[in-house]
Amino acid sequence: MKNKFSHPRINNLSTQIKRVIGYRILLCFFLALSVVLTITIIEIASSSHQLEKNIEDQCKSLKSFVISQVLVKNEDAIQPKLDNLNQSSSNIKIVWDTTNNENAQKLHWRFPMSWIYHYPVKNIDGTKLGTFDITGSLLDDHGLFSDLLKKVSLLMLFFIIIFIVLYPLSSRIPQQLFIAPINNLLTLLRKEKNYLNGDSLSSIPQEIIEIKDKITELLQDAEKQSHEAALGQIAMQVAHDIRSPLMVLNLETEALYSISEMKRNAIRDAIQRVNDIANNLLSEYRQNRNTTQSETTFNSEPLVIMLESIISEKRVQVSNSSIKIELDKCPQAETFFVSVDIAGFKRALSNIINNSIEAIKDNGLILIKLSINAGKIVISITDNGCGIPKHQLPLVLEPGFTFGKTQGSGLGLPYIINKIYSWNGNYTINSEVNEGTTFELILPQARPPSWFASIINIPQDWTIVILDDDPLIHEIWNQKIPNETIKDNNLQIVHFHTPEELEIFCKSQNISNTIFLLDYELAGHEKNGLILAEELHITNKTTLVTSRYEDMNIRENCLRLGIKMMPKSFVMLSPIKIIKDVDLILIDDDELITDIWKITAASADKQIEVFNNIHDFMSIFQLYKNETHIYIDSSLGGDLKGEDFAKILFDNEYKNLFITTGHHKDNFKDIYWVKDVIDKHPPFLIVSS
Amino acid sequence: MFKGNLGIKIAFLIILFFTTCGFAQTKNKNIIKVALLDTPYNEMPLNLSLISEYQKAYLSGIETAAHVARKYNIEIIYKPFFYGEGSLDILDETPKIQDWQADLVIGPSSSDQFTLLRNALPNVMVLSSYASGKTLQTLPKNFYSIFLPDNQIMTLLAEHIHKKFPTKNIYIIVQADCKQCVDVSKLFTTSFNKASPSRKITETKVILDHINSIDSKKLMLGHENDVTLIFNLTYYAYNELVKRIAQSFPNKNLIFFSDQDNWGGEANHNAKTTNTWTYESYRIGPLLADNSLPDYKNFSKAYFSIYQSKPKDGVAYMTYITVMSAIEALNKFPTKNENKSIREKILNSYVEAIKKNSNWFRINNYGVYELTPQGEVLAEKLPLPN
Repeated sequence: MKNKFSHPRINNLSTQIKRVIGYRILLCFFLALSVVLTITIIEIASSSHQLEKNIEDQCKSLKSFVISQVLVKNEDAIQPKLDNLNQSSSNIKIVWDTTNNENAQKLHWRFPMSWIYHYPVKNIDGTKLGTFDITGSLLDDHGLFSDLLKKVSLLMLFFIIIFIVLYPLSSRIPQQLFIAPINNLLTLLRKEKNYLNGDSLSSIPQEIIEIKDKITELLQDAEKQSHEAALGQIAMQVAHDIRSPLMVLNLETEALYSISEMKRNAIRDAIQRVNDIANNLLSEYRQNRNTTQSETTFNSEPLVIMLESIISEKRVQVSNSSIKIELDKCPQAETFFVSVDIAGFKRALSNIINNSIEAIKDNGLILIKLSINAGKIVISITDNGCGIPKHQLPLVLEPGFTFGKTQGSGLGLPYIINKIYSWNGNYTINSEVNEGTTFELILPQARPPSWFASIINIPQDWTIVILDDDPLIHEIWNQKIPNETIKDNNLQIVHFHTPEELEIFCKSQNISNTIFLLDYELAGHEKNGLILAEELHITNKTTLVTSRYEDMNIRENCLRLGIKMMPKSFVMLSPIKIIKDVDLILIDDDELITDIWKITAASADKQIEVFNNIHDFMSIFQLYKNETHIYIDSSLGGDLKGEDFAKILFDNEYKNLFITTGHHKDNFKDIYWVKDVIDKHPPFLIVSS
Repeated sequence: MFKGNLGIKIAFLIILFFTTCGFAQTKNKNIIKVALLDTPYNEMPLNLSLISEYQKAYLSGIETAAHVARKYNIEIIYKPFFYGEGSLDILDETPKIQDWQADLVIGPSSSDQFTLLRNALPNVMVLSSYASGKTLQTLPKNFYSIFLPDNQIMTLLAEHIHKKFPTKNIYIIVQADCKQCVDVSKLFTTSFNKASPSRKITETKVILDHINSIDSKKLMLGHENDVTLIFNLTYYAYNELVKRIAQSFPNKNLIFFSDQDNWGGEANHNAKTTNTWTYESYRIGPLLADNSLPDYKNFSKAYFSIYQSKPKDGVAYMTYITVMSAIEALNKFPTKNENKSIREKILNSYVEAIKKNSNWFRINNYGVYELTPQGEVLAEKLPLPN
């Protein structure tokens, strides 16, 4: 029985090199031999061709002789004549054959080294007389074969010399190129750095140095992976164990109707955050293990709302200490949107604040400042903690490094930095010992997401229906839309707390001039705001006002139904716009044009509404009267064509539609839904007429 | 033909021009277009001066005949169709002759070449000055040679050798690729056997392409004392072979005979060059420059009137007499039907003449010439048997 640990027969390097070199030399020899033989064959072919031509010429003159002898009936003279020729030529023999049936001139090779050529002869009347059979030997071409012999001999000599030169090398090469350098390499790996003097390095081939670098790198990687694997294993276990209790907590919170929705949301957010952290840990461990790209998707998110949510949570966290957390935001902060994954962002920011909390020993302040600098959003988190020595600042970015914390794992900052880079952001850290640390997170601004309702548009004389199970929200809306506004614009506000009330209202009233502000989650009821809007066919006039804006399912449903969503925390921040009756509306992406129209309209005493973004208009066009004159620029930027949007408006019973353009009118044909195509000059006289 | 010899071509063209001018002035005369179909290449080595001399002699005979023919109110226009040295080159010229619409063709001197014309020239009289081969008997009636047939000549030769060398055996060297030569050998053997049945005749066939490569010792071994007859194509080659053999046997009194016509022999080109070699060389041939012959007298007179000199070469007389044979046939056996063309008239008259005389215009006087350092000398006249 074969021992499974027995090694296959191993040859030493010298033998292997001998074999490899031997094979190569042999291969080269055969290749060169083939080339020589090929050249020789070509020469033989060429020689044969010349021979054939010569014989043919000779046969042509003999042919006349033969025919003349036949015509004078002296055939007996033919062969003697040929014999006479044969005597004078040692190379070829010509025989006159009257029995041969060969009809074509042909040179045949006869094994091994001779040839035969048939030359048929016909009489002047075309009848066949016979054939010249000419035979000869290739060996008679002495030049050809001596040349071949010479070439082969030279080839052999050349390869013998090569062999003599290379053979001794088979013993020296392993010692010089492999064994000695590998010994050096082993020395290097034992970190005998003193051995690495200039002379020894110069004797090491580049390849061996590369192998040494690779091995070192592999060892470091293995060590790192081992560490990460251990951490990942812990993370996975934590994530797994934490999920079940979180699920129970979530279910129980849903049933807690006794507490206010705001508190319920705060609890739910906290649970969600814990759940996100667990999921994040798990997914990142899996990503590391599979070394695949992150599959996290980034969405445009309202920054202030996210920040406030985290700060609220952190304030609860430090409520038992004397640490204060403050938010300082610039005036336009409400319009800041950043493209991030919510869970990742919250976790990162939470980590930064946690670092600050941990760096503060007793009394302290954590100031979170939100500003904009050079078009980029800057979130700076400043604490007055112990600070980090300058020389150790670079080290805090290394995995496993902690400073000033008793229980730190050292994974926080590298994670945060990776996240920041993944959002196309950047960061700075400034720290002074005993003064504190400032961490600046710099992110590019993002456009508001398509689901986000940044403004509440209310046409004059319309009814506003508010559905929410939380009385506090109704109160907020009442504050948001004061009585003066209601009176001035002849508005009417109707408050509902249950779905049934809304359903009855919609069925009993004319709701054509009504907008709906619906809560998503209605405690104690199966139907949510989205279901109600869909069932009551009021999706085009509904805005969903909810704290569940982070829920991806709700976002997707809103997009499907064309409903915009406003976070409840944003209600107080959002502006309200009263839409008044206007004489005309202009949509043009060129602000200069819209400004000119506005000025001209004012001087012409016309009420005008302008939009520089067609989508802004299309989201609220139904709030305008059908008789309104609407002017749309033909070229709205990119591939957007005013004619296409005009057609949508036309299908929605808007008939006074006009296209403005800098091009000639003839370029716009067969657009029956448009009343006219005009240039970009304000057409107020035409409208008034 | 005449490769590289522009001068000769121009000479022909000038002659042709003047002949044509003469033709224009004599519209009322009978005009005979004579095609000269022959080659000098079979007779001599490629030597320009020899070829030129031969051609001059050949054409002077025609010119003389044309001069004489005018007395018969006949204008002769001739055109050379000289061919190359290839065995079948003659057949390349026959279509040109037909295109020219020759009334009379003076054919080649070689019997084998003459025989090749068998089917190439129908309905026109084709005459040869020297062809004598046995195969001529098989040719159509429009082929005729004014030279005596080989059977008669060989009879003369056999009797001459029998008488002159009564004890010697005969050794015949035959050029194998010459049909006439092979036939001649047979004719001689037959005649000699009749004359002297007890003597031994040995025949050897050879190819004489490269005389210098012939092993003459081997060829003559055992026949040094015989009378050696060499039947080959040209007298030039004969002489070369004889010299080579004589060189190999300097102390032997070798005896050679030839039946060649010795074109150009009168110019002593084939003269025995030295006395060192003790061989004898004889040739049987017609007695051409015989002033006792009325035809030769007429020729000589006419020739002198044109060239102001005596004819130098027998070939001039042979071509003269060949053309004159047709003029005389036309004159003596005229065709009654005047609507016939001159070509048909010549053909009919000549056939009629041969019918009346099977040896029409053939030379009856023969002799044996001996080669000497001064050239050939007539050794003996041979009476033609009845």
